[in-house]
Amino acid sequence: MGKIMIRPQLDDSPADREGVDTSESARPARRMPPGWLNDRAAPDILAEIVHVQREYVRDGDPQRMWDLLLDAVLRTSFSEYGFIGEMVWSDRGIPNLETRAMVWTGEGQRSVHPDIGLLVSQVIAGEEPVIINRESGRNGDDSRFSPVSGFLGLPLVSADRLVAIIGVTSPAVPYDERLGQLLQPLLSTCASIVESLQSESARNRAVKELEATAGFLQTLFSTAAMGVVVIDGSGRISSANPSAQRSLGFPDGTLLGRRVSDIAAPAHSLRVDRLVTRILNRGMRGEVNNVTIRAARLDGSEFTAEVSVSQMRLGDDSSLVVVFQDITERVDAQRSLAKAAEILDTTPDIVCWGSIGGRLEYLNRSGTSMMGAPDEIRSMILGDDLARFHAAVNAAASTGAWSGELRLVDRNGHVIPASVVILHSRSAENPSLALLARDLSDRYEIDQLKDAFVSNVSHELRTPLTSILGYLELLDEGEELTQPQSDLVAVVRRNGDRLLHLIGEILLVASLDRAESDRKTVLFTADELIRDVAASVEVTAVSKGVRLTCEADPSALICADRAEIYSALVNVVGNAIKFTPTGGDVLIRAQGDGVFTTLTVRDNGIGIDPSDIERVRDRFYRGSLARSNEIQGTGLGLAIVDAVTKRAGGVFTIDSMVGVGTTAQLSLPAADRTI
Amino acid sequence: MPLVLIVDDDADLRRLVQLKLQMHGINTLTSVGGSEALEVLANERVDCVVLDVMMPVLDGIETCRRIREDLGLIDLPVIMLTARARGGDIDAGLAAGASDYVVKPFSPRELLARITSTFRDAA
Repeated sequence: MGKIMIRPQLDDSPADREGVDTSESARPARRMPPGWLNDRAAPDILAEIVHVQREYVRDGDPQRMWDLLLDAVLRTSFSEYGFIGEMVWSDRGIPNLETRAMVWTGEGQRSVHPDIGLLVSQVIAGEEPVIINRESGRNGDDSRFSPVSGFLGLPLVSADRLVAIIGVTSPAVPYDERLGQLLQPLLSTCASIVESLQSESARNRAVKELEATAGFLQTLFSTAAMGVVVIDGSGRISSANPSAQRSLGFPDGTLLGRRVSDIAAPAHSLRVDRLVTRILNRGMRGEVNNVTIRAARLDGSEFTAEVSVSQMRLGDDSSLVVVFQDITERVDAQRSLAKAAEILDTTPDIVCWGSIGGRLEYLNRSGTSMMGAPDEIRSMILGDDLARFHAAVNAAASTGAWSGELRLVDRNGHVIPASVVILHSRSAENPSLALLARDLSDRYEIDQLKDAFVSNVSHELRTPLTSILGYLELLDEGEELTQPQSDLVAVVRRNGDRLLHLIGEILLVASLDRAESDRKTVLFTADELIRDVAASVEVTAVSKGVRLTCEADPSALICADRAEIYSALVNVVGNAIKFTPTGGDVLIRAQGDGVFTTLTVRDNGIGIDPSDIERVRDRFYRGSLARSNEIQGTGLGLAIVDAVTKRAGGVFTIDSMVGVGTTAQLSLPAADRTI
Repeated sequence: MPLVLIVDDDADLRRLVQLKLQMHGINTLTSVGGSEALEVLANERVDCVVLDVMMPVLDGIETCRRIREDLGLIDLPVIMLTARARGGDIDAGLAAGASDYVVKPFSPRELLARITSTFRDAA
């Protein structure tokens, strides 16, 4: 059952109704005059028919027509109240009655009588007028409903189809059985009007849909990035969208009327012409998809276009729709990509990239021959290094790039130490992860050989050095030497000592590069360390006339290989004494904050030239002031300090001003931070 | 008079130690290698052995082990001479039963002090 709309009562002015007896139509006391059925029914009904037809022709507004039709039936059936409902068939064929107009009660808010449902279902079932009369007084009991004596249900049938139902009620008088028959001409007219209303709205809908579709196509045509050209039956361009004009360099409208071969490069125009003619003439269901041709602009320049041609038939006319796209950039990009890939295949390094998630998309030839064809970048990383790899990827994500050393695993399961660069591209269209890796196996092997060689040679040097220094000692103790002889022995011994020192430093540097296996990380107090260091350099300081001061926070701890830190600090303090003239001061201080303990060595010596400060940590590099002052050294001291501090997880900094002094700081972990 | 056996493949070094000890009234025997030393020790009673670690054929570590195990000279003081201050040599020497060690290059004075201290320990 359709929804019931409570509409206000119709209040047509009597002057609007020509040929209708309006004197009888005042509600709610509408009664059939005696003998009306016999004498006046036919002309009155005919007058109503003429009225509604005229109104339909004159106006045609659907809602007004519904109101008019209901009113005509109310008048001619002498009813007080009623409704008109349109039969609407759902997609699944289920009938639904939708109320279009209604005149129900003028007295308060009374509900529709429940018997209306029964009436309507009988009308739908039989498609015949139905009258239900009841004894008067019975419904007066129920004040919820309008007083009703009779119900009259009338079907509106047009071309054997139930199009609507009119239901009316009489408050006082029962309906005469003949009424349904008499009203038939009016009902037919109403049905025809309803049907034409329906078809009109359907047509309107269709027109609107068509307009919408056309609008959509027009928008598509004028805004599409692709060029669209329509070619008529004679092979000439009849329409071109803005994109086509733009990419072909033709000013607005100047493409029209040209042959399609005019927009192909000279080398291709014959082929294009033939293709178009063939599709047009043969009338075949011609379709050509994604053909690459060279197109020509108005100025003669050419570009590579990807073209699709499809046939369009409107009646007897056949035309072609050509859709094309300038793919020059794409082709160029593909070419340069191919060239890049060619270059990447010649490098011995591994080059690969993939999605942000790490799925591998490209691996160069070196990579493939070493790694096979892994699905993911992470599959190439040694398991033990995966955590570091992920940290590196995160670092690259925040800064764009990461570089360092990681161990890879090749297709045969061999571990490959590698220098790795990870690049994170945040380009919106194609975010990606790239990895470049250089196999360091050879370098590692050479480094190891070098270290072993240096270590062996250094050790072999110690035995002859033992003899040199030992025999000198015996000679010195012999007491038979003259003063000049004794001076000569002293020179030999000093150089022997230098040689020994040099060997010691070379050995230490060589050992710094090696694995960490023979390092022992322990916790010790900074106070005790600097005391030991001060004691070992005291003789040197005193003999040079340099004052040595120690200040230590007694609670400061250091967690590192004590022997290494000891030799590093001896080096720094030794340097400070060496580069501080007689009468100067050297301060050793230790301060801790619980996380780091900082060892500071400050002197007021000759300082380091600013141009040297960046390089004094390089192996064998010696500052210009050290060289010009003929201060001896190997250039290894600070390299050792730097390496030792780094290995311990600390930082070594040098601050210096020429003529003022140098401050060196070793910041070292105060607690074990290895995981 | 104490008797010290000096074992080193380097003749100059053997002579150096020998001279120093003789200057302080200590008698010496010398061997050029581990096997020779074991032979001497099988026949002679010495008070201390100065043993170089790095020697061809039979090295100092193995020689020391045999002194303890094969010859059963549990209490004989053995001072190792090593070129490596760090790493495994010292640990290996001590594990093989060495009493003390001196790192090359050593001062003859220091070595003498180490040797005479073993006599005190024995007394």
